[in-house]
Amino acid sequence: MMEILSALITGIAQGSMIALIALGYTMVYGILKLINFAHSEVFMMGAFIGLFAITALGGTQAPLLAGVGGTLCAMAFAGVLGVVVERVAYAPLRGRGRGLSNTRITPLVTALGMSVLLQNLAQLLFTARYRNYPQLLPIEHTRKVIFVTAVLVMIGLELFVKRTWMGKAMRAISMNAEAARLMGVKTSRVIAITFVTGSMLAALGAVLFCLDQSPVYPTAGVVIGTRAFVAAVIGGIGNITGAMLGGLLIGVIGELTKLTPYSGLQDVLVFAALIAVLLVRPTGLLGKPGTEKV
Amino acid sequence: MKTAHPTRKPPSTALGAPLLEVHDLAVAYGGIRALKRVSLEVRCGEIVAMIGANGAGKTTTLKTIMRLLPIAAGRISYDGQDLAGVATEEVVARGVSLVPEGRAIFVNLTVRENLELGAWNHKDQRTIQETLEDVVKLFPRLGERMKQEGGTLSGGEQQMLAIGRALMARPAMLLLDEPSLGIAPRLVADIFEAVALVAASGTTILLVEQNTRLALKYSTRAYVLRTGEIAMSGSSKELANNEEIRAAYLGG
Repeated sequence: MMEILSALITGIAQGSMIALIALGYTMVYGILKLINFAHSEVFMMGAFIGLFAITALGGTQAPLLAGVGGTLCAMAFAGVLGVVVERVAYAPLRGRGRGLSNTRITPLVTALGMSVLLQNLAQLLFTARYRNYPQLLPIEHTRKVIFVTAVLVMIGLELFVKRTWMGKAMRAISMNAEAARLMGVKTSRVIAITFVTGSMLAALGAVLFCLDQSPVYPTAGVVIGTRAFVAAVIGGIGNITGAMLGGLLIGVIGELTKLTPYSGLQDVLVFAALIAVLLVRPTGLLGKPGTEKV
Repeated sequence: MKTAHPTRKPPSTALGAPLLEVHDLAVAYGGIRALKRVSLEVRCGEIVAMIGANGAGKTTTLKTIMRLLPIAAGRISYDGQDLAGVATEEVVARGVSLVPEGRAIFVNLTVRENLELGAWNHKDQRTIQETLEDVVKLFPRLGERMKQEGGTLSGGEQQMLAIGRALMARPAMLLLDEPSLGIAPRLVADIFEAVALVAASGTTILLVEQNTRLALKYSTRAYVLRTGEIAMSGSSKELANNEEIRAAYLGG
């Protein structure tokens, strides 16, 4: 019983971290109907910058300063990287070839290309070596910090999206971008802010993830990025609350699997859950059918 | 209803002088020449109608004025300033708002949120409150539905919401694209009466409408658009009595 309880707690911590990354996928999809495959690489880059910043700030010598300062550095860097990716790879494609059938495929392929480019860039800059974060806090405290941070961030994001002008503009663009422009909304600015927000959350998730005993390496984004993407789809892609729910679900499934003799099957079960959810609700747990006109 | 914008100056164009001028406009998209040569003007304080069959280029004209479509040739100017190279958001900021065809409301936002977004170009709380009250006076049905999602409204109510949302911007000029499309007949009259009230409060209006009878009844002047060109223009009274118009658009 205690085992299950502790697995649930770990699972929720893991899941809330996955949710932080899933939010980036879901926000960008909500607005641009684009799956930003480079998001997992923004996560990875954030993890690297976080590691360097934490080490530079003293690491275990000054755990509070290093932890908070390192996280903020990683978030700032990722925010810039996210918007650079958007401006370099996606923005030039928008609005071109309007009315052509491949308008959604082109940015998707570009996103894949951006992902590969960033992975290789990381390999070149940082080598393929696995690196570990210094142990800033005892592990059980780390998990509490992860959980509390993730919950606070999600509440903050929900308020941001529901209550602020910028949040309303984001939701409006996701429903009807042309109508949003007719209100006077500068859509390219809102899109940039969406990328910044999503990327910063990914970096936050990355630092938390690595503080919880995970190494960072150039392809580190792939595994966790896939899980986060699945979380976003399970929750209903484009839906922020859904992404949080999906993340928690996947985290808990993952930890519960570890209690069984089949711990290697974690990702298999994650995808099984995806298939099961999509069979019952093709738009995901909270996705609304029919709101998207093509 | 109040129409003053909290920060933007009113148009410098005098009442009765051309506020919007479209000169030899040509527009092509997707390989089709949607507009060949359209010239029209809307004078400050007028209600001008643009009528014509499906595919004549009415919506294209409005979307191009809003700079949602590129100009192939010709010129559009508002309040004496050229709109070439001006972004849609900037056209809105200068005081032109479009109520788009098919209403294009934000279906998962509440009625209130839809209206609030209309005020994006000023975000002034006092103006928002005043305009909200004016819009509810204009369309009492919206007042009862403030907390409902836009998508749950009937077609007529959605049209009211779309017009109300455009008015929230405090535009000096309002472009309306087919406000009667797909709406219960008894609501159509309400909507046109509201548009007349908006015009009476000093907003210049360009109205695109397939319902020729209504369009000519509520406008002072009108243009007839045929396959991307202006086929005829004149005062709405003259056009309503014109033999050709009667035969082609008013059912004899």
